[in-house]
Amino acid sequence: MKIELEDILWVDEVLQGKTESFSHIVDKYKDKVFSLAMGMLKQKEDAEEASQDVFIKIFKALSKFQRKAKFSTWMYRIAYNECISRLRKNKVPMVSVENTFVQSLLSVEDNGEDWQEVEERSKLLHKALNKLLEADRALVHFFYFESLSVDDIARITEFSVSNVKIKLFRIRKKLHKEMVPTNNNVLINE
Amino acid sequence: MCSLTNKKDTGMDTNPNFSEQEFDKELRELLKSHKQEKVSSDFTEMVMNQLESEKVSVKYKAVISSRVLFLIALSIVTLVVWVILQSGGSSDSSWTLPSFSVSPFLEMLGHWQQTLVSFWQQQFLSSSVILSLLGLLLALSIHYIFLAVLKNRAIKKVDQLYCL
Repeated sequence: MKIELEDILWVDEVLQGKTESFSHIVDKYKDKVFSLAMGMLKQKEDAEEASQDVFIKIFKALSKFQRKAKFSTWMYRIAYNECISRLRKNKVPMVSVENTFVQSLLSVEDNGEDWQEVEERSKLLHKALNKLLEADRALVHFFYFESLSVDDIARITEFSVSNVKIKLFRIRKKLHKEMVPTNNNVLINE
Repeated sequence: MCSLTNKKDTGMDTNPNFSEQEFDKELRELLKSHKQEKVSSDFTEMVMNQLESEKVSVKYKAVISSRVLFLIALSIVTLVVWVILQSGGSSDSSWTLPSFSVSPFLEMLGHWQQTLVSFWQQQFLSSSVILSLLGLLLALSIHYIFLAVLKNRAIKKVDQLYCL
């Protein structure tokens, strides 16, 4: 509740002419927006440029923020649309595993005995995520990384709730297929 | 066919053979346990500079809408003009409120109302009508001005509360 109130306060301040309050919004959400952009655009430079454009667009559209949804949901929607539009415009090609966001995401820190096991699982997840479409990786980001609800994801992506559920089911099935040994795949019923 | 039924609306499958909840939990843990690449340290500064350089303007929201302000101003001007016009022909140096004939209205009222009104002086009644109108306008203006002041104070207080 405090978090949402904080967002609304900053939005109100910016709307009242206190432009510097926008820096609080940027500080708070820059990593989340960048993380999503990396997941979809894959290249750090592209992701950073897209993130900047996202915040400029958010600033320009601030007066249109209806406050019916959470500020973060509205912001993610702008970020998601920006990334989709960049992907369409540039037709960003699939890049090699070495440069992907997925790898940066999965650069395991050596901090315990389970390191090898975690690394093994991470490699499998890495491979599986790389086989997904950019838009599907955005869904993974929203659902697994940001732990957003299906309703919020539907609002961001403008898919219907049932469509999001179906997509998540398919994504889960793909990831499961990649990460679980073949003989266990029979557990996923068609 | 796997069911997509989900009571908590998380998109998880409820097929008992396939522990999707555990799989989802593992995915979440795997994703969150890894170090994420972050934006450059001067990212916020770059965005703010870009806003400054482009002089991006945001549409500011006025506390009192222009329509309400216009209505208040128009009403006050109309009343003042009317008062001046009504009292303009008077040779009396002292300013008095203009007389306001209520007889047409009284005619429309029933007999009992006329009886009630007859206790009052005509001048007092006409002055009351004008004063009431002016009072209403004044109250409306004060109401809107207070709302604006209160809103600004509330924002400042919450500002201090959260050390923004």
